[in-house]
Amino acid sequence: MKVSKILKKQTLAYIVGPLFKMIEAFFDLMIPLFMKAVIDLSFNTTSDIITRSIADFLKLFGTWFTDERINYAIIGGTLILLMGIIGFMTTMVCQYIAARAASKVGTDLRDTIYEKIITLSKKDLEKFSLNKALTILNADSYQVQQGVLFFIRLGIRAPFIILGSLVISFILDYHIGLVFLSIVPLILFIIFFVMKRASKEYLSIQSQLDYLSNLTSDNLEGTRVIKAFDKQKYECEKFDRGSKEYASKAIRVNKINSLINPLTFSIVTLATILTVLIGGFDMKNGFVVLGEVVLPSTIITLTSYLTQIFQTLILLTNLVTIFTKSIVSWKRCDSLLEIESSIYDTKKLVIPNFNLGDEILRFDHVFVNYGTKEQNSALKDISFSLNKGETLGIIGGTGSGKTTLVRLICRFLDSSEGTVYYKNNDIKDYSLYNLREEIAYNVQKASLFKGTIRFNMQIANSDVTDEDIIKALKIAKADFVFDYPDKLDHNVEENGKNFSGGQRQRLAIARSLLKNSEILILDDSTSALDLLTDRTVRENIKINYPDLTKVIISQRVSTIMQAEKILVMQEGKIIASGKHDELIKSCPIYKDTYLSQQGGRYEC
Amino acid sequence: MSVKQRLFSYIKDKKKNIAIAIISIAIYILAQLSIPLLVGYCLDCIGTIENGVFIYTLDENITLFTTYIIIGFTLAIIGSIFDYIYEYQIGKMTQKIVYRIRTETFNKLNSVPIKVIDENRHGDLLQLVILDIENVANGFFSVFKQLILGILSIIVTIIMMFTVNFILAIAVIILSPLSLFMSRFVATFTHRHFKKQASIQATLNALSLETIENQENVQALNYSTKAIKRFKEYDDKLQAESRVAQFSSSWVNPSTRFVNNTIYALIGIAGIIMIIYTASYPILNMTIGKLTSFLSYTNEYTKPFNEISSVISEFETARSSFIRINNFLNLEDDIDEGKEEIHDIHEITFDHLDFSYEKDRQLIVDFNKTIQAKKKVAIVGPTGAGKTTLINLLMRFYDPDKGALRYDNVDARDIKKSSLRANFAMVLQDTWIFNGTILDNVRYSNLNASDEECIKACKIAHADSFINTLPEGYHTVVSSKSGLSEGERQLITIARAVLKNADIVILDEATSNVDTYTEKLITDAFDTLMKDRTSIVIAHRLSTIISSDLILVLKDGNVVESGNHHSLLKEKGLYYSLYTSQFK
Repeated sequence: MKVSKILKKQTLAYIVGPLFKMIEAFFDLMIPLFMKAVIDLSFNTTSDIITRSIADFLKLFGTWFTDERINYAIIGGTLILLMGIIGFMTTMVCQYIAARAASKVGTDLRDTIYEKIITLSKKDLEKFSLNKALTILNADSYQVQQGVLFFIRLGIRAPFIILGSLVISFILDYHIGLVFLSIVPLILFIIFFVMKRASKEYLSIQSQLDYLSNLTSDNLEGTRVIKAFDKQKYECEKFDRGSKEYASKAIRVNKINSLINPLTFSIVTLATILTVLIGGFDMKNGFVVLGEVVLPSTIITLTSYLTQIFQTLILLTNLVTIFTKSIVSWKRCDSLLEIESSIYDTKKLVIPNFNLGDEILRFDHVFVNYGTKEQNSALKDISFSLNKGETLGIIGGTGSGKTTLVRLICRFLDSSEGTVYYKNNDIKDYSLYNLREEIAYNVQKASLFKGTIRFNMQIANSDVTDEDIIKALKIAKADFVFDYPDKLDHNVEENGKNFSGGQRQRLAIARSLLKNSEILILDDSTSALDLLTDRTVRENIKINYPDLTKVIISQRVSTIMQAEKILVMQEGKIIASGKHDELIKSCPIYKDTYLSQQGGRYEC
Repeated sequence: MSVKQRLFSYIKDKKKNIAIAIISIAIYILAQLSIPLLVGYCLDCIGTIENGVFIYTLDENITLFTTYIIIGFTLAIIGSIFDYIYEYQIGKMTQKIVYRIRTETFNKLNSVPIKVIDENRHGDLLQLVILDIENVANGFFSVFKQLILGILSIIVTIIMMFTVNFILAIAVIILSPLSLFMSRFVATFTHRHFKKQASIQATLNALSLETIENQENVQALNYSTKAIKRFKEYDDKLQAESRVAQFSSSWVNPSTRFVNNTIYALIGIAGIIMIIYTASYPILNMTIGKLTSFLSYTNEYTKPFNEISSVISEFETARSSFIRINNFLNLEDDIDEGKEEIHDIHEITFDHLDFSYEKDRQLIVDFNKTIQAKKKVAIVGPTGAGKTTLINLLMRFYDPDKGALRYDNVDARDIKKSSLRANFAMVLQDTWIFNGTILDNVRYSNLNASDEECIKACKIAHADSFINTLPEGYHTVVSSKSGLSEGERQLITIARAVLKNADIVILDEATSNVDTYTEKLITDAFDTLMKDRTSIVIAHRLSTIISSDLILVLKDGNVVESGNHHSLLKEKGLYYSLYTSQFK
């Protein structure tokens, strides 16, 4: 639906492009007829209607040579050359229109798809499959673009040339025309038969190649284990078998593929010989077409049309493959663009201002059901409240629902039952944009984007000055930035891969501080920092941003023990809440975790 | 080996196939190119022009005519048979060579020093085995195929043209560079723009990938609108480049058609004029049949040039792929100069050992220490302190630069690697699970173990209970990417180590991404594994550390302190500050 809208924008190109192309195609069909006329006229032999009308046309250009035959030959030849030149120029106009329209379609499509992906909720995107979405963005959009390109370039030309050549052959000598007509389906049948057989084999070849690829990547990842267990030989033998199997499959498909050339060669050659044979006997038997007995020039001309039919047929089969792929891609693009976001964003309530100590956040019997599959990460009956300026600590094992809980605050998903209140209103009453302006969310895997450090900091807030940035960097203990000669202009590569995990986390924290938000969420987002730095960052934030409400998620008790309120979570439920000292007394799981980490875990 | 030598080494034993291929293709080309000649002969049988009048002569020449027709039919059949033999031979040969290159490359992956695997991106090495070899197959051999075919048909066409009429033949040879020039020009122009397009495409892909993968962060930062704007900016650049690239590539067919039409017209008209003047100047020796043959040859003659130039870009890709493969295959193997066998190790000694991964960044300097059998050794230090370096040395994944590592007073370099490694069982933090069943994965450490022994090992490793909850139990197929949680993967690798039953165990205690319950299972399993064995542990648990006989404290790759818990606390060094910062 959406794709067709983008395609429709280029409607003019689909009409004008092929029109220009038709001029060339028409000349391509005329050239052999002109050649035939020139031959007939030069030999002063009898001539049929076509030749006579071309002769009349050639006479319009006057007499330049005394020998009439030479005159016809030169003027005819010049006209043929001229047709070639004009045809070439009009084709180039068409090719340009095609390239322009196709690249526009490609860009429009990519823009629309990218916008869709980036604004879709993660849940919806994962349901659809992230990898598939990426393939659609890069590969499928290109395939649709190719479809447009080839439709304008050849979509009309190819059938026109084949039909035109067939019609002219029937006019010139329908005996031979019948031969041509019968080889068209024959060649199409051979090509499509082979292609169908081969494509089945290709699937199995592709999966064998995937298997080899898996073996290799297993081998690379396990290189130490393999060597430790002295299994190099075993691995090589396993790969050898897979590689041999691949070769035998590839040889099998080659056996089928190799049929196309020989078969089409023999068919076209036989058709050529039949043309001469039938033509010869038609002449001998005085077969009359267009008012005259078949001429030798007719045979020459017909072999030209045969070549044209054959070459265009090959093009046509390529075209069918391209169109088939494009249509599949078109549908895939639509399937992505048609996803409805499960997070609605229609209400626009103004977010009020709150003072220190006001109740900023409240969960009221909140449930989240993911369906049957991921029971363990769902939430069950969550209720708690938090005042502005306070710190909330959440602790629990993997799959206990900690992250699901905070994702509700950002509306990355919505509750199935119960309500989340932000500043006394249902969180769903605010626009997503305004809500997310109020919340700074930090995850374990901090993301930086290609650009400079300044660029990354300004993502949070485009109005910040360098002083603000420097202050935030200092608070987040990202002092390493000041060691770079180019400081804030220091380059950030894709995904911030030129920084270590700990550096990325600190930069991301600095960035979220710049956001001037109401709530700062740290979801295991200091995991790559050593304990000392982790603590310093938390203390810095506390001192410098007293109004900021903090939600800190961790598996480490030491990270959250100073919070005003701590939630202990297990299997989607809050099993206890309170301050550290209370929990030590009242919650055995909390106590055990604390003690085991004290006595058991040592992190540096 | 140079690229040429390498290539030759692959085709050396394929001489027979190549000979068959060349003979077949020669027969095919002769058959194919005789057809226009025969068509010409046939037309001349039908009639001739005398004094401007066409005279039908088919009745007199009917036998000759039929003979030509029969020869034509036969050639069509013979030609197609030999064409098939050619294509089949080349395809088969290609795949056999691909098989050899691929297997050799994979074997090389397993015989190079581990340093090579560590220092190269795995994606690049994977590409070598999969994609580069496909490129070689597609590029080299399609060019090879096209080249033999092309060269032979050019030669034969030239001969045929001279047989028919030498004047026109010379004309065609003069005109043909036109076609060649045109297609070369288009090809270089196109290639340049496609390269530009690809580089913008790559930027755009990187840009979209980093935002899409972190899509939720983008939304949390309210960065979406700006990100879309940024994407569109680059996409517009791509559009401009793609328009030029696609436009320039679309010159190929029309310009070929144009050149062919031009040559066709020129030769046609010249031929006709020659026929007219043949009566007065017999040296021109032109007939209508000859003209027909000639026009076909003109077509055939330009074809190979275009076809060869169209596979040139594939050839370029193949060439750079093959150079990469060749460079990789030329790497030195990891030669194991060790000869001695070793078992029942009583003592491991680091003797004035120096080590570095890179020459200019010295890591371990003059390290001396002795580890006795059945002792517990803990390695501690901040992330990135190079805790795995010691394991690399112990297992001889790397050898020291200076000094030595000795097992029972034998230099590790004198011990056969396989014999040395047989003494170790290892559980690393990067758990390794390969595509296969759980049972296959466990059995990997001892291929002779029975199912019962594997299950027993899993029970010892506390893996049995979760395995039994899987849909197909021990026969569930798992892979590196899916199926198991991090903790479950660790339990399986522990079972694998249990099954090996080695004297020395190397363990990495790091248990990130593991929930509390599984973590307890893992630590229990570790304790069982360490019992009565020499153990070397990258330690994270305090209980492990305190109970160790020897603690090695690492910083920036070097061993800065060593001793037991109490002696290290007394030193008040790094260990002391790490220990106190945790519990202050």
